[in-house]
Amino acid sequence: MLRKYSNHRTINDNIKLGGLTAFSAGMVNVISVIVFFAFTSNITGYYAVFAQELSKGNWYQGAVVLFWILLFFFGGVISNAVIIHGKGLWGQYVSHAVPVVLELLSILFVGVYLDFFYNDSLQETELLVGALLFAMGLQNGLTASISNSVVKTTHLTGLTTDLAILVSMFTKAKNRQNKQLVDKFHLLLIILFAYFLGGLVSGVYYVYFGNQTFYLVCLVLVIISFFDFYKLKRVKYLYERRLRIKKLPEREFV
Amino acid sequence: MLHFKRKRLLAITYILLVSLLITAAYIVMHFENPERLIQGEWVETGWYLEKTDGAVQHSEWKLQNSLRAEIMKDLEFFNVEVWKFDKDGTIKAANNSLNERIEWYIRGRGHILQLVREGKQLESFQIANIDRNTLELHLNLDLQVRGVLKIKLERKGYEEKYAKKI
Repeated sequence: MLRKYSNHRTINDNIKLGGLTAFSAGMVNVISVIVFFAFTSNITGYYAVFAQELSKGNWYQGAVVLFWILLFFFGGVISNAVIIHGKGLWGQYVSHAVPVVLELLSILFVGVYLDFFYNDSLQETELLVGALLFAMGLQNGLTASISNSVVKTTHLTGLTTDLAILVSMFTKAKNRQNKQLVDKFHLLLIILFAYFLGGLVSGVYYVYFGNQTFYLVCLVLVIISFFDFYKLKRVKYLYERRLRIKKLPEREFV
Repeated sequence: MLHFKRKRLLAITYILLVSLLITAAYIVMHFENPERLIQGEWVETGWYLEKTDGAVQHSEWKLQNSLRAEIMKDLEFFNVEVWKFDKDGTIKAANNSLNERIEWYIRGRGHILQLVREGKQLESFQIANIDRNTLELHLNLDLQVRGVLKIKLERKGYEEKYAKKI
């Protein structure tokens, strides 16, 4: 899911990555609306709000929105920087997993802060929303970067447009036989469904467990970051075992 | 030469972006925010119902008393006419007529006023406008009436000060 890059990725890799990251993005967005009254998985609306606040002369609110937009932006910058510079240092899998781990730490910070330090002040709210937007910037930067912009999971505007185009294309029989288009359609549907499901799970979980919902998001991110680690370890183990078996007869000769 | 210029352009872009982030963070941390502005006593100056129906010529009018009573039947607080936002995060009637403890919080980017009673949300308003002397709150109604309820308030003593000034 994380260890492959760009065109080397299969549709299954993208479905796993898209499904799980969209699930976590949906969770984060819903929980942030419930707790902070602010969306955190996308910033399209914030550009409009930024312009609106400036036109009304609300400098403080304008600065808040700009702060959030920039944190989302820097999340994407850091994510991609880690991917392109980290490959030579730590290898492909680790450089792809680091942005997920940073995202996990940001969301964990919000959860822990809410549990132990939060005084319900506006300043704290704005910083915590900023931390969540930074996390979503990291995630969006990662998924878009490693999948060659095929997978984008934190906002659904472009996805809904792509889906609409595909639905209209499938009115032609020739397109319905096109495996590439059908695969893309499945991928988009899974992302859409996972995002919605994430939001639903998050909303229901919050009713019973409150702010601990943030820890549940962290658990999903742990699965994303360590899924390939387990696979790599298993492949390495099987490979070494095969080598050992092959070497055994040689030892007998020695 | 071109390479050097591009490098310089890139450096300027990075510096600009980081400066923007630092400036925005500084404003968020140190400027007067709605949470501080709202503290104090506010006097209601009008209740208005804005309908979105295009057929209505005048979209604003003062609410009739019966409608106001219906909207506010569960919210004793809104009959106080003078809202006192305390520093300790509670909201009081100026004449101390409120028996229950209601807490207030500013949410979002400073555009939501949330009222909480015993840990549960009582109501949330959109802060349409706030400055030192005026406050305008919007409430989305889910009664049989459509549209937005506007509550306009003025800081207590503002009118007297203004009158003295002129």
